Amino acid sequence: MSLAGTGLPRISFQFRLFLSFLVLIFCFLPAVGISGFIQWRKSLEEQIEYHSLNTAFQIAEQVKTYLAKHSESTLMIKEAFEADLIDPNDRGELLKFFLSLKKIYPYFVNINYGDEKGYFLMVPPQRPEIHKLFDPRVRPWYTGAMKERGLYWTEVYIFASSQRPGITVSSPILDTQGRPFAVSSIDIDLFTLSRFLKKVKVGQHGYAFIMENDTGRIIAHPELPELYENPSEINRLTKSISALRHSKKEFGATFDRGRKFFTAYVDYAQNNWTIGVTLPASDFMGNLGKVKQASITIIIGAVFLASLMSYLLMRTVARPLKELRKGFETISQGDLDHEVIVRDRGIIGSLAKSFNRMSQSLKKSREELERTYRTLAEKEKMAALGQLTAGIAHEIRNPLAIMLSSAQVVVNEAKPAHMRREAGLFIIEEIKRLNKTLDDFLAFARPAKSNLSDCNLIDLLDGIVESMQGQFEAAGVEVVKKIMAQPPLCRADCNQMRQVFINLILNAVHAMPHGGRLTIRCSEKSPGTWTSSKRIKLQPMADADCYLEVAVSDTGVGIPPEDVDKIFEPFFSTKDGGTGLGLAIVYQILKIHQAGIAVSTEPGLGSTFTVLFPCFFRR
Amino acid sequence: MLCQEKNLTKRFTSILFRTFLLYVFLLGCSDPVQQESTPRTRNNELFYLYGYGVPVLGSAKEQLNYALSRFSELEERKAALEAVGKLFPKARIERAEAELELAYLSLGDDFRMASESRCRQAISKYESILREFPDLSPVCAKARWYIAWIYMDLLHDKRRGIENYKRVVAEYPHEGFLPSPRLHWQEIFARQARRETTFLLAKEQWAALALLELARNLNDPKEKIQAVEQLMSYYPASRAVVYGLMILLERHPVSQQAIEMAKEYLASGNAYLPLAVYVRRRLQELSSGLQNRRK
Repeated sequence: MSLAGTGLPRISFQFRLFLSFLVLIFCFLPAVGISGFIQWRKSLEEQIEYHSLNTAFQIAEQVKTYLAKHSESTLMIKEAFEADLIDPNDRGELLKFFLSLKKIYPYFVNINYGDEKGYFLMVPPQRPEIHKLFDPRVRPWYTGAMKERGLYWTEVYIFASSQRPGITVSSPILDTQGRPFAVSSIDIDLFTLSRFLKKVKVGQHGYAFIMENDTGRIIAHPELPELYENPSEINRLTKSISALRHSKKEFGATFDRGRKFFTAYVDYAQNNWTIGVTLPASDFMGNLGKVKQASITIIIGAVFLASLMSYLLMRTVARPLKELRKGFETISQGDLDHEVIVRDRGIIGSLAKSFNRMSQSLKKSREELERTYRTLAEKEKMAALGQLTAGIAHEIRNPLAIMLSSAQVVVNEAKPAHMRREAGLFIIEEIKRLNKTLDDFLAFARPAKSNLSDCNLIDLLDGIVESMQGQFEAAGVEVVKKIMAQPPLCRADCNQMRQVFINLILNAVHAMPHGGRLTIRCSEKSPGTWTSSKRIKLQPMADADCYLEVAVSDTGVGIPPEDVDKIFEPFFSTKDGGTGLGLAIVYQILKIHQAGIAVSTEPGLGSTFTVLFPCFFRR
Repeated sequence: MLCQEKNLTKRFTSILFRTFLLYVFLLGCSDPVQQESTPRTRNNELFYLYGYGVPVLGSAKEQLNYALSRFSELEERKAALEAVGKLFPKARIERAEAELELAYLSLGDDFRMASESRCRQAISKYESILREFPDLSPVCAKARWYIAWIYMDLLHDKRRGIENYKRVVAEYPHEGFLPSPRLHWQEIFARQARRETTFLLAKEQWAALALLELARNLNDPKEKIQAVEQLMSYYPASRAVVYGLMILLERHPVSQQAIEMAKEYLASGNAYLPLAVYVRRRLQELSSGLQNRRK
């Protein structure tokens, strides 16, 4: 189940395909979603900045307009006095004028008049108990205007009449000599200004406020009376503006006790005020949160659906491939009749068709091959049979011909008795030879089953040489033995080995008709000793512990080069009277024992047959 | 092998599907995005009077403060004030305060334009307050002072005015009220949270104010001086003193006693400095005038 050497599990093609889709989906979709979300958030923040600053500017403009009405009316009152349209000594006329002004501008909180003698008129009126103790000459609007000798804006102070904070715009009224003798003023209640700010919609929970720069006090705020019960909120607003001023920004995010706020401001230089707009980030973060949730849901949904689609797509793509693979497997198991059926009109369908055509073609080729093989095998069999038959016929016909002629001598009574006797002996001799030929043939054609046991080949060779001592002497052959002292044991059938060595030694003796030297060498060889060579006619098994090499050399006539490759074929013989089965039997027995044999020969000098037996370490 | 791969794919798909279901489930279980809520009024219940819905608050004090502070429209304010008595009939102090305010409002938007009938109506209301709440001295002091003021300043009935001012001085020598001190407005707002009816945190006395009015309106110069003397003696810290002295110093001829009294006032630690300037200036004028006359 794992890839060789990597330790990774083997994963099928379709699963890899599916994983590829998934990797694409899991990387691509969230990346698109997240980048979209970030872009949206950035755009939203820009919109908030624009909206906040725009609101602050608009408020500043409205405040400017609102204050301008007060200052213009104050100047108008002053001019009415200076143009003698109103007599300051006619208190009734003065009151009527102020009352009519209040009707025209109902949003003017208080319209005031105070003169140098301490006379004070206000519309709407003060409470009498306050009025009795009130002197305009000590009020900031009066002193300020008198000092400035022109239009004057007070700082925020508390109105005596309403106990509310406010500012007053005032102007001195000059007499004909240009000397100020009275002051007219109009109060602006900061609650009224705050109510105006309350109407300004800034997000869901945002609001505008006005801060006095000199004192850092919040002078207008939608929740002004309650604001001063909440010093932390005042602190936050002043800190926000201070932080923005410090960073030289008109808009920015500030944090207060873990909450995020967006604040923007503009300067209102006329009164040295700051008009600020602040809104909690949660106002739009709520929406952002909703968008975030929706985005995540959509991404997860899209990932899920895309995964499902990928799975289905993978199945669609992989199914014909799986069918194709199944077809390959069936056909590779030999079922060439199997037809791969793929319902795909694309490349895989074409591939399946081509594959079916190929398998049909393969089937035809195989049938043809089988036919050819059968024919060839039949022919080879017939040829082998013919060769065998010819060999047998040859081996039998010659003795039979001798036996026929000898039998004719035996039955011919006219022939002398010794001749008839010799002819009879010939017949017996030929029968013996014939019998031996048949034995050899049977030994070749039907070799006896090997009975493997631990076999000491050295002892075996010694025994053979001793038993054949008479034949060596008769043939004038000198035997030289070069045998190692402690040879390894071989696993072999001793009888068959005896037959091998006897055949090889007899061949050597027959190769020296005029006598010579027969050398038998026996030595241990390590694996790898025998390499590929033309001399080697049969390779031994490769994985033995060691090998025992037995070489039988003669100083005989040698083998002609053209015959070297034929000497192990049955019925091939260069000797008169030989069956040609000896070396064939040797070859057959050695093959059974997984032993090897090599032949080296030099015509006129002799031959060496070297046998290599596989041995194992069990001496 | 094929079977194992198939199982692996199935398992993966199953895990993916389960994860999706789990997310949908958690999404359903999670709280919706927390929206900030604006603080609601303490009570949504409304008490309807003259077509105005007055919110019903938790206590008589709250109800009174609401009525005193929230309205620019006269009729709506009247409804809110009447609601105090109707919603909290047993809260006598708050009810009396509301009644005082209602009596004042009966003069209309601007008392300077009030008709005689309105003035009489107001006096009648103040008198009924005096009858209904005789045990509440601060309330009675204010009511008596207002009666005197209406007689004097609006109806120009000097006799009754003086009579009532004298009663204020005699009957309520220590009852005070909060005038309009120049305070840092932040302090005011910090104080607003615990602010109750203003006259309970008095700094000025109705009697001092009555003495000032007596000094202003009495014809006899001696009585005038006596009124200011009384003012200086009993209410030396009152701002009314400086106004009383200025009245005396503006008269012709200015008595030496008045000058002495002014000097004494300026030398004392109780002088109201913003106006003391004008007293000092007047004294300098008088001094230079006297020297000129001697020359």
